[in-house]
Amino acid sequence: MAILIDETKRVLVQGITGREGRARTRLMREYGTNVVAGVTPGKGGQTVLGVPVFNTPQEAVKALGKIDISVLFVPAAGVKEAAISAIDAGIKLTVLVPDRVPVWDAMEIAAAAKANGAMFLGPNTLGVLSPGKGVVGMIGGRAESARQWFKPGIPKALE
Amino acid sequence: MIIFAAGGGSGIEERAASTRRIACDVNRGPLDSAVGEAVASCGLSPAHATQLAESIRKLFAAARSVEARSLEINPLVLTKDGQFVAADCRITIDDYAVARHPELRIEIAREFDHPPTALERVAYAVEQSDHRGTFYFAQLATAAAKDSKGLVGFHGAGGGGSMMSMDAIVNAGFTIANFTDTSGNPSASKVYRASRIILAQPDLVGYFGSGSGVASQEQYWSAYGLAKAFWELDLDIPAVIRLGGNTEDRAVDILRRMSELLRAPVEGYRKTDAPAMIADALRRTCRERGRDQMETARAARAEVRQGSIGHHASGERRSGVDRHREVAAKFARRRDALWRIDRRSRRSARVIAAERGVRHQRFRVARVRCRVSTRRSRRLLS
Repeated sequence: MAILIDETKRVLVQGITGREGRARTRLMREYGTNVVAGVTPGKGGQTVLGVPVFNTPQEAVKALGKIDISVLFVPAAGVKEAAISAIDAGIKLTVLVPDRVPVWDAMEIAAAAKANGAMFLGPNTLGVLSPGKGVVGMIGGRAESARQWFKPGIPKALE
Repeated sequence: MIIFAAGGGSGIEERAASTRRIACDVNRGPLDSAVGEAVASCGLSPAHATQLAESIRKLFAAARSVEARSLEINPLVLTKDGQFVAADCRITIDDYAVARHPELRIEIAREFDHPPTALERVAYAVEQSDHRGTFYFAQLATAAAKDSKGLVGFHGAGGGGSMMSMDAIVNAGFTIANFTDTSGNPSASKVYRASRIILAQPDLVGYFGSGSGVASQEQYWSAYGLAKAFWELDLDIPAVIRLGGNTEDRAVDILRRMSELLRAPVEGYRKTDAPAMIADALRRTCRERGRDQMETARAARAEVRQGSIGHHASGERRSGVDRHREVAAKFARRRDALWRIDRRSRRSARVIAAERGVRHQRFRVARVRCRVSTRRSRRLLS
């Protein structure tokens, strides 16, 4: 089975300077996710919780090298542009957390992903979590609560 | 994807064999080869075939231009003078794209089985101006079913947990007045507005809040939102609120503190409390509340009989109005004190709170209560 997220994956947070992006960046890092960069158009050069912010995913990749996953915390209306810019920058997994993304936008994202051999999750996904390794998105919430909810292994009842 | 059938559209999804599927590229539209193949299957003259192919391309363009989730023409008619005409058509617009199409003049982009009510319009407006989290509100019943224990305002967070909770409420013998969902980590103000809208429904006997925990709501934000709504409305129906998961202890504590200031009990529950148990709690609190109200009414009648109304000094029992007069006066005093500080220094609430040695968050709630109590204190103290 493919493991989408673990502690070795380099993660980009789009919309990192927003309320949700900032909060989730902190929580994801507390759980062990390696957040290497953030993106908010027009706010390049800032840092959020020590994470450097760039104007576009392209800039982030140029400055820091390969990025494995981009997770989006941007308003629904901006998801299409943000996701496609991440896919164009060569990021192979895009996690689209926002709800209420128009369906034609989602179809365009799907077409862009297919054309670039990339994957995407969402829109309106809670995210992905590998117990004890890393999380992208909002699933689990705070690290201590995520550790209570998700444990490695198969429950006895299902073995 | 365009589904196309020469034999008409009725039951087209089932008649897979006689239909053609025309693959479409989201940007470029239907693929020429697929269109040609579909048209050829109809056995039309070359001139008509060209026209039909053009109609299919236009169909896609129309769907794209209004961001339709589906666009259906049935039947597509070839007239005697050789024109293709859409004799009937149905377009379903993507709810989430409606805001980009003001020209369609869609007032409320939601699927209701009834014309939107006044409250549903208000709720929709709330959602338009705040993208943080999601808020959905639909009214289900305005009168309790026969043999029901009464109408309950429902306030859920997250679909699955909401369904379990709604089942539990119905099993406990209540009628659900509305479905509401505030999830996706909404702001306190959104939860507050949702709560106000739920409580604007007439004839509720109880309030049921249902939030799970595996997602990632900051539950204490929701608790503040609920507390503010309850305080403003001086809640007089019991509320049972499950705010499981993140910061649940803090959330439950906020509700407990608010409960002390209200006429009716507000009970907070955690993720380990099952919906059925919370529905039972609602049944119990409603019963007790009913008894309380009857007792208060009886006491009031007794007071009137003894001619003691308006003279509370001698009475052992303090009426609800008395208690509220006290509370309102207390908050009015605190408000005045805070306002004096504000005016003098114009410093942020956080700084003032730090100097006064109180936690900022508590301070903020105090302010909320104070602001509200202005109105109430004026009414009660006059």
